Amino acid sequence: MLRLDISDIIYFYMFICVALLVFNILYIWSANGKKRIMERRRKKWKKEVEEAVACCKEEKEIPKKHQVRLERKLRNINQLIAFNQAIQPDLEEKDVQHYLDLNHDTFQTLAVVYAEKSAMEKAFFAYIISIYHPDKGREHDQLAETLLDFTDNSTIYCRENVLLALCAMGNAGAIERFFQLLNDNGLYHNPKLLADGLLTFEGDREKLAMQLFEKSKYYNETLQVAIVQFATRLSEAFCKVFLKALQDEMTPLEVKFTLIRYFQRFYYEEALPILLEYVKNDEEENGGLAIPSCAALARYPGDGTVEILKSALCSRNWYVRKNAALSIISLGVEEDVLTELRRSQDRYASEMLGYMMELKTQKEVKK
Amino acid sequence: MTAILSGFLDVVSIFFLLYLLLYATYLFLSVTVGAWRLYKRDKMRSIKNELKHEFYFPISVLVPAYNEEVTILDNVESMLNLDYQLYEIIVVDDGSTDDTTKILVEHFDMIQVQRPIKRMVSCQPVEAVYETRVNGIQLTVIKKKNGGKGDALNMGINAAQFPYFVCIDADSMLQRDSLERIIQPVMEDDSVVAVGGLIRVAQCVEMEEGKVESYHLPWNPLTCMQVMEYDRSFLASRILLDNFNGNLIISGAFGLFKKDIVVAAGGYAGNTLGEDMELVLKLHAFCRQSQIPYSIRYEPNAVCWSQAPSSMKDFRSQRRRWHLGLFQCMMKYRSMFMKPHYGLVGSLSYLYYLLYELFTPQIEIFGLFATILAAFAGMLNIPFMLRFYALYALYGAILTITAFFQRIYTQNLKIGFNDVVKACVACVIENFFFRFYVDLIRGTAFLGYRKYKNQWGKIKRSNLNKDKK
Repeated sequence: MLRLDISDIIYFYMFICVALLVFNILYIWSANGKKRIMERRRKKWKKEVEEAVACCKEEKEIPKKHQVRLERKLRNINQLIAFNQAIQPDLEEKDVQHYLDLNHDTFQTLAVVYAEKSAMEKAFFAYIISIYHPDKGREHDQLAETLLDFTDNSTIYCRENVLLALCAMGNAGAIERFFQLLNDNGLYHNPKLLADGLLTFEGDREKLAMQLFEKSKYYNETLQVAIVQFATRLSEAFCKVFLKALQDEMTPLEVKFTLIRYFQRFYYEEALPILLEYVKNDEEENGGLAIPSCAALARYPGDGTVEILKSALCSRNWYVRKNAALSIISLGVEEDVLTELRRSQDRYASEMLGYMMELKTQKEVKK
Repeated sequence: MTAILSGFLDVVSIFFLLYLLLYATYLFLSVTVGAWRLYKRDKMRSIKNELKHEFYFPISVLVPAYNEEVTILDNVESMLNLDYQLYEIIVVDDGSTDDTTKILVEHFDMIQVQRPIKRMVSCQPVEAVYETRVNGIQLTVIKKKNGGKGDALNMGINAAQFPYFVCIDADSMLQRDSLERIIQPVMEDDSVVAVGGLIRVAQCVEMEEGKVESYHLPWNPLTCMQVMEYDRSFLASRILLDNFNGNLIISGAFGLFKKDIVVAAGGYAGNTLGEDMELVLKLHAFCRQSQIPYSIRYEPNAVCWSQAPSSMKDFRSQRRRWHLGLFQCMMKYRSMFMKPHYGLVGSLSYLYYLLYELFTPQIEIFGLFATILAAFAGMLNIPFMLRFYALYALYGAILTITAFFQRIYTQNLKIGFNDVVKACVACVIENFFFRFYVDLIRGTAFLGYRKYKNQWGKIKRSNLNKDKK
């Protein structure tokens, strides 16, 4: 009995595997057929869109039939892919933009339809909005609100594309709500992805960064880091508020690291005392703030800085010694002082300084 | 007496039927889950469900090398053309007796430096450090005292500047997008501490500047069968185990790790042949004991092309080393087995490796013994045995060929009719005969164990991309 059962099970498994194998072979063979179908669809859309764009150029109304077809056909993901391929290559960007702006209501309707679909399809729709952004500049818009709804039960790809779409639309209010949603729902989105995404914002980025930073105390650490990273790639406009945040004991450690890197990028004289303080108090409870501070001090020349960095060369922390040595070299301390330093410091400091000097010499030779 | 023998053989037959049934079920689930996941992922990528940025995290690429003068230059050159913004390459020469270091130093015009290296994990002392920049990429060669592959990797970890490191074998080549792909799981989830890539057989491809120019199955039957075997195991079990964070191996040929966690766990073990598996087991144990939320992932789209042995001698040597490595790791982490604290890793994953990897040869020899005994006692149902064997091998062959075609379409590779025929023949031979040869190697792996247990495997290398030379 058992023998028969096991054979049957293996036959059953084999049948499923053969089915999988046939599926794979058909999938490979059908790839060309699919390409042909997609090409036909693309050409059809291209012709229609060109006609509609021509109407827009002549300031005529877009044919109703075209709008109905858009609304009906683009509910299907394959048609949306073909539509995307059709409007990408040849048409002038400003003409396409005008055409899409005129079809704003269609996209709004489609957004509602796609909100009910799988996360994968929602992500693609958001991607389409991120490249064509038919809503640019409208601060209060239903499309942005619908896109925010996409983040419910979504994937990271969907959230990523929604962020890019909101940034392309230049809608600061929606981005703020997006951050709030991430925070409230405990959704993880890498700070690097957030900061990169925010940099694509089609509007006043400094204003957006400031707006987000003002709300940041209500956000989790990841989101706070992302906002500071975003600002770090903008300008020195945030020195004052960031210094205040750095001095605030409630600011999370990871955020402080990012803030120090901001002051490494943008010189702000008033930040110097706190950076020196972090290096001076290079203790365990300091949480390692001396490490980025030593690196940041390379931007703050002065006798006080060099003296603190010299003492940091003897730190127990390897990374503090390394960054102190790097900063001393980049501050352009004179050769004989460096040689003197190498002789007087402990072995590790001397090795580190020696290596940095060697690198500097190599760079100069290569130049 | 006959009654006792009959009872014994009944128990044995039930054991084997269950053993094979469980394995068949495991393979079945692996291939179907793997196929579904790859299909879905392929579809997602085609409709922009991906994270596409200009810059991700900086990565240190570690290349441990021992007597790799034949392949090391191709290997390093292949890594200088990756589509990745910020990475460094660290080649660790583990006391080679050939010209591994000299070739690199002369070719890249490298300069010897007195670089202090922080000892975060233990390793043998440095003999010399060479540095240069090529195409804006920092290239470091560290010559150290011989200590084994794990020891060489530990030196690489100590010298690595960046928070994530990738280890890659010196006889392997990365595709242009491999680093971008292998970092994706880290971008998706900050609890990811390690990611394994997909290893494929380098003898199948011609590559130019990190791109696959053509793909053909090799004529060498041994290599060809290994292609089928790799496709099956990397499609099947790794994706299935990945679903519950249950992978116990990230191949040493290509894997990404979060440096601070690896350092905290103690780095690679220097005294094992399976340093790649040992590290993954160690990370499971460390993170679970320290209650650190963690995830160990497998990324089938991050591809590394690695040389498979082309001669029987090299093949035996490699499989022997793998089996001994497996044994050392399973013994070292035996405390994980069936402990609720380790969840499915300690139960399902461990049990799979124990029953279907480590003890397979012993179980098969026992089976052979029982068959002979049954034959002598006149209790062997020969037609059933042959039918069942044929059925089982055919099933394995179908699974393997399914995995092969799955790989072809998910990676957009083009193959000719010749390759299809070769694939079909290879998977039949592999399942009907070759696996017994592999089991024989595994079964005899322990001969000379004490003498060879900590040696680097020696396999005859040929130039990577030799057709281009």
